[in-house]
Amino acid sequence: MTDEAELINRLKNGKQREQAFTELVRCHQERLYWQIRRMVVNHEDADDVLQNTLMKAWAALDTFRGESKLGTWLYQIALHETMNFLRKKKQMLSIDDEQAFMAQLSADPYFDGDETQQQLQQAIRMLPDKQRAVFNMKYFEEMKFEEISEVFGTSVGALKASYHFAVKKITAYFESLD
Amino acid sequence: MKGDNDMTDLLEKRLKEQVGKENPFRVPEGYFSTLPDRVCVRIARKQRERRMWRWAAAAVMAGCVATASLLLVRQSGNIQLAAEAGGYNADEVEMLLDYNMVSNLEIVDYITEAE
Repeated sequence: MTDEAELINRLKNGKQREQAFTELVRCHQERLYWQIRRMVVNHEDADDVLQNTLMKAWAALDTFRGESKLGTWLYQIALHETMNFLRKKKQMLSIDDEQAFMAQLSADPYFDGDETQQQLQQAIRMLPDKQRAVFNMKYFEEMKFEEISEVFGTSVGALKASYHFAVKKITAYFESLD
Repeated sequence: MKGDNDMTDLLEKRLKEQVGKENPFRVPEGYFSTLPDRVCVRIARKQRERRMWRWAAAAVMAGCVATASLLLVRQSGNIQLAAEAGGYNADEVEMLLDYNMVSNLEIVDYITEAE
């Protein structure tokens, strides 16, 4: 039995569930966190979304049928939670204010980037939410399009096109600064 | 399609040269080592809340059943009184009450069944 299959068995077993879930969290927390953080930027928001993701995963353990890997399943929940969070946040405040965003990044104690990295964050922020998620997964996390396709449930062709547009827009943003 | 892929690769390469792909974000010290415990605490709290809600729902249900039983007991007492006042026996009054509560739909059902 593989490690993953063994972990799934323990997650389905009432007595071992809590310990197995802690192992699952330890195994995937960093990848999930960075996926979320790159989308929401701020640490406190990323922490909230990640904890909600894990709570939802816990509540949905009985519905996990093993059709995908545990990591992919968690990624899907995290993506869904992140998109919901961003939708609610957009309703509350305008995201068009570039200067306010830059100021927020400069004041963020958990952001160490220089001016170029601030500009990159701004360029990424201007992408539509799904395109931004695809860009982050491919550019920073170097995930294969096939893996991203499993998370999104979208065709590889559509993802390649989405990534192409994202890279093109970000390149154009930097050209406009020159 | 291949042309598009080549173009994407070219743009991506240029972007990496220009801005790199280092992670500029940090997390508070010890964040990842404490996260699983914090999640477990939240799960335990949620489970406690859920149990409390179940108890509360059960208590409300029990209250409803008790109130309904009390009303029924009172109503049968009233039926007894009405029967005595009108010279009917209690069974006849209950039959009349049942008849009053028959809906039009039930009457249609009864007629069509009889046919």
